[in-house]
Amino acid sequence: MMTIDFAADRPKEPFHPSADPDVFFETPAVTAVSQRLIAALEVGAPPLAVLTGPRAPARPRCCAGSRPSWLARNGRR
Amino acid sequence: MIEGLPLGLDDLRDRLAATEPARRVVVGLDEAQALSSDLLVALDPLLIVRPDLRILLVGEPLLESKLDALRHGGAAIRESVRCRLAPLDADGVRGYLDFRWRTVRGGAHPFAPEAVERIAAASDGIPQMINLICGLALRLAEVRGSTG
Repeated sequence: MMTIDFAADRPKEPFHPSADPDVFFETPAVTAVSQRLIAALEVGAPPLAVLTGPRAPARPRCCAGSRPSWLARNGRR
Repeated sequence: MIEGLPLGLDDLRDRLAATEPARRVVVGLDEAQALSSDLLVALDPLLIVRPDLRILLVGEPLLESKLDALRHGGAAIRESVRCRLAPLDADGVRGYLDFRWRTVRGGAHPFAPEAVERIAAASDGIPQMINLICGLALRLAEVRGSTG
């Protein structure tokens, strides 16, 4: 198993596929979901919460021939 | 701490054993649709013996159908909440580009309005795809010595 230090020693890039909280874009919908999840994990019983998002296409139409699955293979968005 | 896959039940137990007693532990499992059925089924008994533990499963829609199928098969998988995030709409994609660029580089991003529309359409509003497309576009522009 590999530990990923995702933000400490890397210059920030606007579209780097990291989980860097400094560049986390939060919409009202995301805020609402975050609050529900936090509440569920704080006081919910059972303490298991599930969050799903849309399935990413294997290859966007504009990038046929590239290898976007690198992101998934590295466990990073 | 963020760790990469693959994750097995023994891995999870080993890491939980190393946590400090009397502290709440929150485990987030990303790409959870790829977790084995055995691991998903084992989460409920694990939560029973570890009252300090909270688990957040994050994944693609396949995760929901996988959990439902296991439950219909008799597995005890109990959730307190299930949330779904939709893709960003066109305004959301514009806001995403503005925010990410302004936060990291400052100022206005280099994508023309028509390019933003195309990015929104090609990415289906999925941030992972927006990152990929914009990253490739910027690299291409750098090679060509152009912007927009």
